[in-house]
Amino acid sequence: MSTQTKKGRALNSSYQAGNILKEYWEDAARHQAEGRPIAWVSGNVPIELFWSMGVFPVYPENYSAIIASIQRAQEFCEEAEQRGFSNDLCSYSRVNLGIILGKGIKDPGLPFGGIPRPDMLITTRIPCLIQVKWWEAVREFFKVPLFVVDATMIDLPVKEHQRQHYLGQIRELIPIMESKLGVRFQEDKFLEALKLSDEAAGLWLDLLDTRAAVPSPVGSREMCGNVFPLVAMLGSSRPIAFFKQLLEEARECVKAGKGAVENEKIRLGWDNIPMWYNLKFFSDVEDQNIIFTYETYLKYVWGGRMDLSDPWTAFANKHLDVWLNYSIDQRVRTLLSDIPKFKLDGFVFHENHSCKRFAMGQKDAAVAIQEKLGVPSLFIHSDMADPRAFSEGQSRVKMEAFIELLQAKKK
Amino acid sequence: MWWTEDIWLNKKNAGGEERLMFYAGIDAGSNATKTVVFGDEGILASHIIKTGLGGEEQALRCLADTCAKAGISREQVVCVYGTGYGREYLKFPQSHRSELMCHGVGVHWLLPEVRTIIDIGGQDSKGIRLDDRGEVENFNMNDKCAAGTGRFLETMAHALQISLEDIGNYALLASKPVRVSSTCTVFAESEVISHVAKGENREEILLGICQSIVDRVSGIVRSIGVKPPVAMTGGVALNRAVVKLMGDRLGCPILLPPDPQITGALGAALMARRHVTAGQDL
Repeated sequence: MSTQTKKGRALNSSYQAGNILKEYWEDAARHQAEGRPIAWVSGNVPIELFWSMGVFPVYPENYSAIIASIQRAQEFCEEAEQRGFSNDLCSYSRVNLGIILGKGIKDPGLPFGGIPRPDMLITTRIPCLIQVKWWEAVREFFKVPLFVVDATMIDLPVKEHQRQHYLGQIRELIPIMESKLGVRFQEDKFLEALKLSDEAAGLWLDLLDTRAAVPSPVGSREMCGNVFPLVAMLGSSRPIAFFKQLLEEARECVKAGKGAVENEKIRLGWDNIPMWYNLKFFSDVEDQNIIFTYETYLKYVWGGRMDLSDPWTAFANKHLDVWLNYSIDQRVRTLLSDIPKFKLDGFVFHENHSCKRFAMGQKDAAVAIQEKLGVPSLFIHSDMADPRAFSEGQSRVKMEAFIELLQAKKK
Repeated sequence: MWWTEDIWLNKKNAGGEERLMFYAGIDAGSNATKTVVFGDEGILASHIIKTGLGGEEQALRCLADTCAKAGISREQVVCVYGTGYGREYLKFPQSHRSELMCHGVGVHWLLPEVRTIIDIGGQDSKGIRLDDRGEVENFNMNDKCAAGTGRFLETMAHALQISLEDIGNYALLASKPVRVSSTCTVFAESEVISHVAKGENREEILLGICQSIVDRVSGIVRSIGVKPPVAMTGGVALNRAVVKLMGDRLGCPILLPPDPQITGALGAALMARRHVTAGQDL
């Protein structure tokens, strides 16, 4: 079995991810400069709709993750906290509010020249409830319209009344966008956006499936860097070429038995949003012949296939079928089916202080996978963006002990 | 030492000294550095010193003192394993392992029937569950707060101007605890001082302090599923009140190794021995 070198990306195409991100934020600024509308949106909004209507969807959540990855989240969290926002609020929101209420969204010290000003705010209750309050605070500042897409939590399969409730929200949203932003909904463009979204999602999911191979062609650190187009660009053509290249490379690696880590010995799964300021947590583990090769965050939060013979039904199903919108039972069932498929030896649950809806049910899942599959778990209590929540020494000891436990189990 | 002296003396008297090989484990904890030197059949000596600023020099000094106690030279120690908070900064051990594994191995050697270990050290509190081979099958530890650790007790001892060793003995004289509810060690110190100012009974305050440790740590231990027999290790296991209250809370007696502070170092020494004798890097 041949192996990758330890340093650098396992898949060469992954090096494009940084450029795609840069282009996205530059495009957003250009879009605004040309007088076209910008909507600030959040995870799991009906993104295909925006791209099809010529509304540029700007993701402050992503921007907060970028700020965290360049080790600047703490200063903005503190800025927001000094203005009365509790540190129990989501750190993405604190970073964003810290930027807005501090030196502002156009501070030249910010990455990509800052965040374009919103013409409208659109969010959804699907992944998060704090998001609604966050957008309300942002609305106070920018005085722009806010729309909240409501949705029910689900067990699969999605029920008709859940779909109808969701689609009812979309039917309300469209005319409001048209009147507030001066854009027009055209069904043919929307269907084209759905087609692009479905194609990109298919490629992404196939890419994730290649990682069930032993050895795995690519680990979590790299894949967390590759997910951005799936978050923010579904419905545009940009993700397709990128994911195609990643998939081709990953398939070649699998065919050649080429692993992302040397002499892969232990395979791990990860639950919840990664620690963006500390992706090194993944790579440190990879240096020990261990790979994180499965993430609920990458598989069930962004993107999903759609049966376009019935596009509106498929569209509703896709947006409701999201990990954060699953009941605990549905989450457990999903893990019980995926862990054997990905041949995982252990599972790491990130008890993310900021995303309690993601962390909900983790203990139930840990008990179930131990009892039914004999797969042990580790809990790391930390945060996706606020580095103050991470205890370096304690987390290191826990991870080291967990690896020792898994190694002993394998002997 | 208590359980190996006879074996050691017998070996010596039989002229077997030359053939003996020695192994050492160093537990570089946040508060204390502990060393155990192990011979072919048991512990020869152990030693505990304050970690202070820690580092290689302090660990080497601790090892040298332990060798001196054992009556052997440092060169006769063929393999050293490190553990504890500062293990990664030690360059001289052949390898190092996590405290969780070392406590598991150490306790299993001393008390093979134990299935759950509660280790409360200077800044960590851990629950460790062992299987019947002494392998760690589950664990949990405090993530980011020093409440429920030895440091908490140290702070309270300082606030009450009492020695750390006396906390448990005085606490057991009380019939009911004064509640110490602050999670934060610093706030708990203020709370304790205000109890003193209000004229609360000192023994009852001390019992409240010990109860507060048990409240925190029992949550960690219960999260892994307590399987008796249960043992306690770490410096806080020397506090009789905490041990008693923990037993009451978990509803089972708490076993104590002869010297609960050295089980991590002992586990490391046992792994050093396994490294040499079985050629196996555990």
